[in-house]
Amino acid sequence: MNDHSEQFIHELSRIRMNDAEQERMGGVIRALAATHASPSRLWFMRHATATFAVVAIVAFGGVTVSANSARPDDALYGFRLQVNDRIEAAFTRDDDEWLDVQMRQIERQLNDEDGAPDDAFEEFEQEKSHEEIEEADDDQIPDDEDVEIDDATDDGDEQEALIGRSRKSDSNDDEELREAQRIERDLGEEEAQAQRFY
Amino acid sequence: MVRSPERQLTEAYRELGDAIFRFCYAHTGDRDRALDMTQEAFTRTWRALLSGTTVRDMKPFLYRTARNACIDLSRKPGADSLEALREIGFDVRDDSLLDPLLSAEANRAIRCIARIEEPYREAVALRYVNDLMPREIAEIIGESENVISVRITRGMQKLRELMQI
Repeated sequence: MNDHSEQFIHELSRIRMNDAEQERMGGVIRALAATHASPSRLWFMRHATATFAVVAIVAFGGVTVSANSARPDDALYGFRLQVNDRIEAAFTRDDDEWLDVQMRQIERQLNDEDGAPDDAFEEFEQEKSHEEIEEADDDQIPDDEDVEIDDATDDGDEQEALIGRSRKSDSNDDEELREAQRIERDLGEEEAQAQRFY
Repeated sequence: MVRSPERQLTEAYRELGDAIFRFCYAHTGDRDRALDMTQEAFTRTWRALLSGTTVRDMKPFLYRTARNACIDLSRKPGADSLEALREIGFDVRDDSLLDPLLSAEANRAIRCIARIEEPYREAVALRYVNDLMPREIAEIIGESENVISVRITRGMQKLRELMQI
């Protein structure tokens, strides 16, 4: 090919659409891409809806299960009362079952609200009550082992304290004995009266 | 990464829009028809993408689509292509059909190329107007490289005769 033919061939290779033609063709391309939903878009739209529905159902189910064990101080306690309990009541077959469900729910709420306080406070209360019991036992019914007289001890005050505690327990026993005798005497008089009557 | 059909189409137009127009222009010899064929080529490509066709290489796919669109146009009954016009005595050297955007030489070249008979016309157009290598032309047309090279050589001989170079 000679230079002259190369020249016009090169000019042909520079043929372009002008601005107006570019505008028109660009509009056609944009219209094609915009007005027709591509398969990928349709697939995503279809599956996006199904995926969202599945996620919503799973999330709701998870919250429901978690709320079932919620206590009054939990964030999901309100959900349990307003949603779980209502759903449970809605699925009853008759009035009797509905009443049973309501009673059970009320009882559970009461138990939840009256339920054990904080663990630390509960332990404190339990320890306190144990201490009180132990102190009461020490005052009223001392163990025999507490009363020991050790001749070898050098501390006379301690011996006197021990002896004093022993005498005190003896006096308590006497008092109980007298009380028992009094009660028996009263009962005997009542029986005698009853026999006279009949 | 799999691109969406919309993205494939817009990128194809950005890269090959002018090239496809150039090919259609060389094939039809008429600017308005070239624009119609270009639009037809991209519309057919979009339909193929929508139907799920996997297009690995957009370039030969678009050229093939444009080529088929031009062939379909030429086979239409009553199509006033240059060939049909020639048959009824129309003179392609009529100055009223000059493209104002091209020089006189380029206008002359376009008309002469349009006068070359097939299959040499498209081989010359793809080689010198679209600047494709024989290997790429072979892939588009579906012939061997040797056949394409022969068609290009013979087509250029006919073009020189027409242009009296």
